[in-house]
Amino acid sequence: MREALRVVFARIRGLFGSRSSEYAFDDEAAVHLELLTNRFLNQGMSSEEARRAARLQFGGISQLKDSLRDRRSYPIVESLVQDLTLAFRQIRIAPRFTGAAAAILALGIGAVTSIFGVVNAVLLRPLPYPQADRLVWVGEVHKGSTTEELSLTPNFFDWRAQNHVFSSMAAFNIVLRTLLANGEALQLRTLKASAALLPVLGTEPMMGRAFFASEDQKGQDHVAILSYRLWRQAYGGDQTILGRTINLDDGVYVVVGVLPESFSFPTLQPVDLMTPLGKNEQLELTRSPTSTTIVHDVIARLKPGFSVERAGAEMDTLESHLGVPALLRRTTISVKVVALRDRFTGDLRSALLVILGAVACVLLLVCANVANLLLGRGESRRREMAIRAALGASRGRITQQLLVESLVLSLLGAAMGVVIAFWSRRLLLGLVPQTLPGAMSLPIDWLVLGFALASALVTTVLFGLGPALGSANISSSASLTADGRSLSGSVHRQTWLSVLASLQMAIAIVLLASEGLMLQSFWKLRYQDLGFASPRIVTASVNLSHARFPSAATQIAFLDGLLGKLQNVPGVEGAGFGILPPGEGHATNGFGIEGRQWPAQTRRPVAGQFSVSPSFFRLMGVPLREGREIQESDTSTTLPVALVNETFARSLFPGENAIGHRVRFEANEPWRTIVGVVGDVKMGGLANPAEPAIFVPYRQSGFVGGEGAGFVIRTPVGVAPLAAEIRKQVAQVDPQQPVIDVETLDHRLDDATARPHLAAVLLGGFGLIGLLLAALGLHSVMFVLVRSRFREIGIRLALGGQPREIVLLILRASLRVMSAGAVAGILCAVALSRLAHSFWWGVSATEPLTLAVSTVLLMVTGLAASFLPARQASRIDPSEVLRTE
Amino acid sequence: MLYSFAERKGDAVKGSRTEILQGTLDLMVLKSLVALGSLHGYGIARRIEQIGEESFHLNEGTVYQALLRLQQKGWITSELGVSENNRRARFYSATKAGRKQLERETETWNRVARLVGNILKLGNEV
Repeated sequence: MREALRVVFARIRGLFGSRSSEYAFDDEAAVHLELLTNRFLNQGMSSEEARRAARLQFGGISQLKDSLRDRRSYPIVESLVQDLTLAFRQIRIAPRFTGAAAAILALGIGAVTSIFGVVNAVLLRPLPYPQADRLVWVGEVHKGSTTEELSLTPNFFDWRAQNHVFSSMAAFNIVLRTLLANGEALQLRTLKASAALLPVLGTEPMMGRAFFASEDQKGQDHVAILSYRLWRQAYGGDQTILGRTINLDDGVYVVVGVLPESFSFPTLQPVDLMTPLGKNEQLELTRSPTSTTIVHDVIARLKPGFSVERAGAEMDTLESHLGVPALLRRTTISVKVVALRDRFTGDLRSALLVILGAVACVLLLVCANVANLLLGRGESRRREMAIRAALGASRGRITQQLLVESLVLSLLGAAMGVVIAFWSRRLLLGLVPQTLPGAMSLPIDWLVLGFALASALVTTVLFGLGPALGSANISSSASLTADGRSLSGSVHRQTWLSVLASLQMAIAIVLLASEGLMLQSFWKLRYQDLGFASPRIVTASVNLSHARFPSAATQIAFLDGLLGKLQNVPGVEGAGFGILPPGEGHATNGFGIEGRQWPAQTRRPVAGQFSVSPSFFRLMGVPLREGREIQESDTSTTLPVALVNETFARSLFPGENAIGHRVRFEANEPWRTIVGVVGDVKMGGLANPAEPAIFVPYRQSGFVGGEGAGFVIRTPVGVAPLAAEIRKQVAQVDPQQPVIDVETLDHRLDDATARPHLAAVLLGGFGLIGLLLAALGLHSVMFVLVRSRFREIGIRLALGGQPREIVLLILRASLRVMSAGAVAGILCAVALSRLAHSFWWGVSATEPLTLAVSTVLLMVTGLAASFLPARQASRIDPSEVLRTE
Repeated sequence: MLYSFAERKGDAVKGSRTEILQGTLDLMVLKSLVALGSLHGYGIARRIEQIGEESFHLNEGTVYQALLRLQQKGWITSELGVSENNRRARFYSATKAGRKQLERETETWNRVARLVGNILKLGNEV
């Protein structure tokens, strides 16, 4: 081992002192030969014989020298250094070629690197926890469904106690709570979380302590940990905050800790405060139907050596042995264990696939373009290589030299590309929807730099290898004697150039078609018929939690008061209360229909259940299909009524009239009579079909509000002048009531389509760059083709051909190249869009219009790009051409 | 190890009259230097010829490959001196590490030779 290392060092030393020792070996060999010759002379040979015998006995001296040189240092390094020197010389000799090639590479690598930067920031960066790959999310799901991911709290306690696969487990619920700080009511997204949450995530508070396990118990849970942001903003970074009490709407809490600035909770939206889970564990574990509560998120850390799959299997077994009373047990429930990272990125895999595909396409275009340039560089390089070959350079050696040149070009382009990516961040930050996590900043980190470097290496191989092998292959004598202008070589080269140009057209069509589909998909998602009219609607939310409003009556009184005031604000055409689209979750609530029994152990139908004000549907422009609307006269003292949506009526009362039937949510409630059917409104996400829904007048509701409930205000004046007025009115009714998210309904819809919007923007960028590169490629290919046909064109002109005919001749040639590319491109686009069809929403993968538009756009651009070479061809002076040929 | 029988294909000079196991040559060169002290390449070739009997044909150039290998491993060192024909020449001598290595190699070689000898003898008895 030590010797091996010594040899390496000796050879590295050899890299530097190689020259002198080589001369020394020459001397050594000369002395040796002389001594041998003397010996043979002494044996009586003639001097001629002696010299020959000596040479014979010594062996082939030049081969020996080669072998010694190879062994003395690392010859590959030496030749690389030599090639680098040559490459830099080449840059100096051909600055225009170098500039053009490097600019194309910089454009391409810059574009893909910038966009990779976005993908990196939004999708790829690891969760900010130590060993985040060991973190999983655990929940109970309906079999065969991805929705309704919740867990019963006692099940969580049992999981925690009985599993063998997790080193620790923590549960949490997100709760909207109001914090009173400095006389101001702040609406906060807070957590009720197990004491184990911070240890599971591998984090400690910056100040103070984490929760004690004992504080998880109900009654001992009045301690709080603040986020860094809340600590700075609400308490000015007060160092004496620990031990102070704060007022939340559900009680007084003692601050025991502040989290570090870099920490964020594993939630989609930022959370600013955390209190313990606060469950009565003994009572929960009795599993009495009245005490069993729900936890929404369970996060666990895998023990070393356990995989996510293994944990899933174990949890399934565990779940089936839980002592759940038959009443609560549902055979359709199974346990799901997923990596925390997947829980966050979810359905983005296909998006990533499409974007990476587009990246590959752009890089291919770049390669094709640079290969164009390399092939179109005329005969000078070819002759140079022929001379090198004639002087004894091996094929491998020439290939290596050309590859090193390509590599230097690529690295130059990559360096410029990184600079472009750096500068384009500001532009991209403007385009990327800010609601996406990680999109606030687009860091150029090692991954991004590595990506740029990898792009450079890949492009080097792609654009450099072909021409390099081609050049190395030429027979030296042919190229030298035929003056490098052999007809066959030229034809061969033209074919290659045409193929390259067609290839670029094909790739560009694939890119454009993908972008077309994405754009349509985004457009359809965002501007589909949502069942309501969004313009001029401003929305706002308030906190109607149990803690603030102990009874439905207090909620109703608050809403009555507030709606009355809002109606009278100048500029408000109408104010209502209801559900704010587009919503996120799925309906999860069961219900009863008078006179119907759901069979046991089957999945019961579910429907969204919402409280609305009488004016809600009118303000939102939701049509009434049958019956009557809710009226102001529907109050707690009159007959309980309900509206249902069309989906509900169709799926639960097929072939009959829903009106007159009675429904209820809880067994202890009075029946509500269905008095009307309204149009469907999407409330379970834009990409999902409308779900059955039941609407009740808020004045008859047992509990008003919940997530997604809020005010809708129809106004022509917009958000800005109204926001302050809404806050003022709310404060007059309830001074401690925060107002959340005053924004237009359109803005909410924009937020909900942020991801497809981003994809459309990114693919749009790729499409444009693709179009540009394809046009550039065709342009340079046509120039080369025109140049190689100078003679033919000259003769045509001399024989009386019109310049117009020449232009048409060249454009026809260009059209031929484009058509071949277009056919290939369309085929590829169809095949690819079939592969990634789940990525596009509501769009048929083989949309003929998209393909047609992309093709036409490209053809027109291509013809425009060929026009300059064509015009040049038409202006050839025939006499000059014929003279020089 | 000295006798790695084929280190690298390209190392053997083409057209050598007898295939000499590379490791064996290295061992012989090292042995010569330990036995006779400082020698130049020609001297080493003569020494090997002397002890190598008639059957042993050597492309003398290969000695220099062996010398380079040994030198890179740190088992021999070299200095310039004057040869018998009054020319500047490089004289090689074994280092301390080289002597130790030779002892180790000799022992191993003997053991292997004994073993092979025994096995061949066994074959005769059957």
